[in-house]
Amino acid sequence: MKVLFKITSSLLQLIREDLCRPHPYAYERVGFLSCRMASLKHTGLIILACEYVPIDDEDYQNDPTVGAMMGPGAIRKALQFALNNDVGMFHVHMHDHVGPPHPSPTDLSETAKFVPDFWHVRPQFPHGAIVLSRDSISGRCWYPGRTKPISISRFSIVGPRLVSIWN
Amino acid sequence: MELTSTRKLQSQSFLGTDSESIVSGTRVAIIGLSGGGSHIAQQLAHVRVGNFVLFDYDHVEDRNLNRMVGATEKDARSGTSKVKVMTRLIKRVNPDANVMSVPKKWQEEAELLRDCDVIFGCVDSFSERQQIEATARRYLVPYLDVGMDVHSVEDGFSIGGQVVLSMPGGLCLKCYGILTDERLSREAAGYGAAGNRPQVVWANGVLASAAVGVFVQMLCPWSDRKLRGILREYDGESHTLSTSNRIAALGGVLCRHFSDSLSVGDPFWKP
Amino acid sequence: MILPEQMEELRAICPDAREMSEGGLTYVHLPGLRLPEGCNPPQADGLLCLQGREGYPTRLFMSQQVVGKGNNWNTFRILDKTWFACSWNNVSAVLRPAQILAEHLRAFR
Repeated sequence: MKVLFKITSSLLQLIREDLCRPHPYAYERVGFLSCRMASLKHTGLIILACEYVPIDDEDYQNDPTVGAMMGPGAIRKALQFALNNDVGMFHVHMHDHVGPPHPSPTDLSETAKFVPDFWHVRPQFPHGAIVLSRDSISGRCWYPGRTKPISISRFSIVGPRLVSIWN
Repeated sequence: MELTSTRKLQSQSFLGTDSESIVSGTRVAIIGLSGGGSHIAQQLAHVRVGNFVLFDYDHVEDRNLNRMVGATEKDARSGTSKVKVMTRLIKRVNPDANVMSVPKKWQEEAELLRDCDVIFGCVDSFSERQQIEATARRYLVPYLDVGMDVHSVEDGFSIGGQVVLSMPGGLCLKCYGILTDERLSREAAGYGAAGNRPQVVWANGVLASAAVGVFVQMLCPWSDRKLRGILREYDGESHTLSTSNRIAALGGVLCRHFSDSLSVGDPFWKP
Repeated sequence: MILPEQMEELRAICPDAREMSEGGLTYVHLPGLRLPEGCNPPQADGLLCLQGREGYPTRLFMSQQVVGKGNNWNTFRILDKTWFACSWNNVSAVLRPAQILAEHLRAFR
């Protein structure tokens, strides 16, 4: 299945600005992106980013072994948001380098644990995880009915400058 | 010199070394292929856009020949479909272009718009513009609308028009005052009056060229100057395009017509 | 926003009625709406716009044209589906939604 992810450049900029903010004890920040869906003709999925949901400062756990650890409050609020707004949720964080970002082993294991939990509140939607770098983006999507995540084939950043990033 | 080398030489120009691959990988929709749409199709073919989706349910008639680029008397006599004429024109310029032609009302195959990179709207109805824009916003597709008008004034006629970019996340046609309840109501009251407004090839050409320029600037900007609100108004007396005063007047205003996340995506989507 | 009791009235007519919005306008999606006796088709999905658009204070859009009923059918794209509507005007927006729907269905009698 081809998966196309679209986001406006203004929303992406907002996310970058939030993720770059220093945190009292976490090394990095994370957040969630609410998304809505559409089908592409001839089997494909379009994921359309709607709104950024930052994690509140107090919802990070103080864990020096990892860059950022979400507390139960963060997940609960994100689940509630998905339920209230009829959306799919994509976890988002940033790697501080140039070039295509790749999820770390920790990223892969952690997202595999909590992303499918969103099906408890919104079973009909895909949910997933996005990683940003300074100039690129990659991601995976958990599609209803499939146990393994699918790589997002293409990102389209929509704004005064149109950018396509193929993975 | 081989043709391929010539093309490469042209592409290694101020638009950047990647410009050819960027543009050829782009998918554009053109809704309405008569006046402005035919100019746009021709220019995009020359710019070497790689993928087209063309929408027009109509056939060429005599009355189109004064402004439809690429249409011939033979097309008018045989009633060739407008999508066929445009496909022929595009392919003659760029045989490698993929052209999907839809000889129907665009609403009947609107799903084809979902993965387009840009939609060009060259329609002569405010209601159509409203629908195209809502669909474009739903799939986060920038919408370049081109319109021209000839209307009677005290001492004769006046030719005008505009090019406007409705960018997802940015101001919309309602924000810019292009779509108003009054215009939509008057148009609805006229029933079949829309679609027969006079058009002129030179004005269409100016407007279409500006739209294509904005499109290329979005893909391959040639300077660091940021593309800002695009509402260009055409003055048929001075034959000039200028930035509308509304842009400055709207500075800092956020669109409230498409601010709802329910306006995005397929509201009936199921896995 | 449609009041809960007004939605209940609509659901009595169409059990799966759902409120939706686009471009600042409120619609009620009416899947499988039963049409007046003798209509072809006998039922179709409806989309009721409860606010003014194109000079109509309210308007009923159908997923299919009703054969032989209504004049000047036009095609629309709303909520990313194709809809058809005939010229049936002047159904006031101050009526209750269920009344608005009933008035629009008179076009198909």
